[in-house]
Amino acid sequence: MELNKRFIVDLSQAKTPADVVFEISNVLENPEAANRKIWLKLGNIALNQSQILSIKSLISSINSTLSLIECECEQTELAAATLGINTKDVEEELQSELSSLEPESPKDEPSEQYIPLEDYKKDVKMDEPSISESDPALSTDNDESIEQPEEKETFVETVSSENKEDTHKEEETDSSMTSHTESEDEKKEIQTELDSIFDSEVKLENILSEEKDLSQMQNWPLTKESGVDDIEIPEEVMTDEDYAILQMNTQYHKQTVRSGQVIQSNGNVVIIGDCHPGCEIHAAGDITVWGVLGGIAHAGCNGNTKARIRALTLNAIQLRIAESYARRPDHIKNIYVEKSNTFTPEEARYVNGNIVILKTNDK
Amino acid sequence: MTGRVIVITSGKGGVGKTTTSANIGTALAKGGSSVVLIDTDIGLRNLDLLLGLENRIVYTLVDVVEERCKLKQALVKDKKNPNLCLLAAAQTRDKSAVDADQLKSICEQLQEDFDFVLVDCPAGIEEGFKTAISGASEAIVVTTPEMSAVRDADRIIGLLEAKEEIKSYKLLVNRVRPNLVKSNDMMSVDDVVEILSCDLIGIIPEDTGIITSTNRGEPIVNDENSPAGKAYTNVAKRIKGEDVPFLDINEPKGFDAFLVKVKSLLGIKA
Repeated sequence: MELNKRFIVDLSQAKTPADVVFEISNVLENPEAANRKIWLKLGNIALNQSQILSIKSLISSINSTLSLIECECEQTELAAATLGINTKDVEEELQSELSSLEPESPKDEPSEQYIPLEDYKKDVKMDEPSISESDPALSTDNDESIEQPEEKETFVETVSSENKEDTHKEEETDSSMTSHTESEDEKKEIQTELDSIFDSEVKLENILSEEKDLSQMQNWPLTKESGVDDIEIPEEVMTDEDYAILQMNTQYHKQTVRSGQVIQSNGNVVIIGDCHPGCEIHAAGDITVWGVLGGIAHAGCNGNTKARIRALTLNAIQLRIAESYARRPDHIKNIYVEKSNTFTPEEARYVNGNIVILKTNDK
Repeated sequence: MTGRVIVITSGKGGVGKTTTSANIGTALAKGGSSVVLIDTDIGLRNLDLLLGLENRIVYTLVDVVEERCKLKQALVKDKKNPNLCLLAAAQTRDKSAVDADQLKSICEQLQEDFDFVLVDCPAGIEEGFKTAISGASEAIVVTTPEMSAVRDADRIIGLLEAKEEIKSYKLLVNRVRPNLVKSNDMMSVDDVVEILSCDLIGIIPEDTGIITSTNRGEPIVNDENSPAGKAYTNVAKRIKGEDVPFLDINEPKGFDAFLVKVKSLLGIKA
């Protein structure tokens, strides 16, 4: 039956393309969504063709097709239309299909009211009676997702994969390192080199030890409450570099990145999953990890200091942004952080040559 | 200055090559020599973890070989001992990234600046092994008193003998459990030496402290009370040419000694 093939996803509350990508990926994890015609309900959000294409490819990865997009934004509507995707109103389409087939299941109508993003799954519904059986499963999923803090300020654009080698950026960092003067005393040289590389260690150490070592809490330079203004976090002003990141393509990975694996991108990288120690992620733009980041993350590897690294649990062996490095403090031994339901999402950014880490709920 | 290049190898995996490298390196450095450890287990590196230097690695052996950085930039200095440096392996590559000639030239360069260049060899006898032994003039063959490990060590010694550059090789018997040897459930060190007909450089008793030290990233030679730590310190002294008697691991100590006493009082055979 035609109707059974439909699966409506309401994302009218999604404000950024990142939200849309995150939410869709979560919805698509539901086995119910496979082999369906997906109807996407979007709010006032501007998506370009490539973004829609990537959403489409995401959906086709589970053997479903993106058949309809309802949208308030003209740009999105145009882009969808050029891609041959139906852009009618979900309600109207539903009505017309219902009337042409069977005039039943009117209980599915009340999707008029706006539903908070966290509750998006409640609005995922199908017209077949069998869905109601799967509802308890959906709601339990939903509870879990509510417990985890959601980070919504990410800006991720599209899901087109570009695997160009970023070798030239490594040479750049090399040249900066070789420029250190070479004295006859090599051991001293090594020491100073390491010192300069890990200049920002102190700050990282303070931040990471915040929960473990109370004596260091006063020195924590980054909370506004502490009143210590060691590092002044500049006002958020969008610069060309910021826009450059926004314009970049985004590689989207839904996997556990294991030791020895390298992810390289000329744009942004989003990883849905954990990144184990021993892995490396290099991106010209932002790195966002929806999980535990345990390996080496190098954001802005082409020199963009506005790039950021964010993760639900930030436990990276090394953080690198543009040409600055920070290493994990030695006293942190738990390489594999215990899995728990409480996360403190953190974001690393570049401030005056240092890497500083902010808890995302500080803002 | 021309330092000695020593490769630490075993053939079989899991007998303690990396632990031995980390501990002998640390012990030599504590004794005042300048030491560089090279991890040649590309793709499965562990030596950095054992030394607790994982977070300091920026450049690796592969970066040096592919000329992305200078050799000196890739040397990671130990946290505690300034005499000790590590040249880490790349985790994201495999053994084919470095060939024998390249490692040989790196060893030659390091030889000029360091008293000891210790090469931690990967398991197996393939490419990785051939690369690791390429620069070395001496070898330490690690084995455990098990038939499989001894058989593999025999094969390795054969390969080492066939290589002209290796001037001498010594045997290190790891994870010896005196109790099992006594009850004839484990080969004794003498049996192993007899089978392999090879000079002995050390006997390391089984020590649960190794596990904690590995997890902490702190070599066990830094723990002065540990039997394995003492044994490794002695191995380091023997490498330097000192004549140190082997620890008598058969002699019961502490609670075991007390038990033996009680048993003998009660007339039970120990």
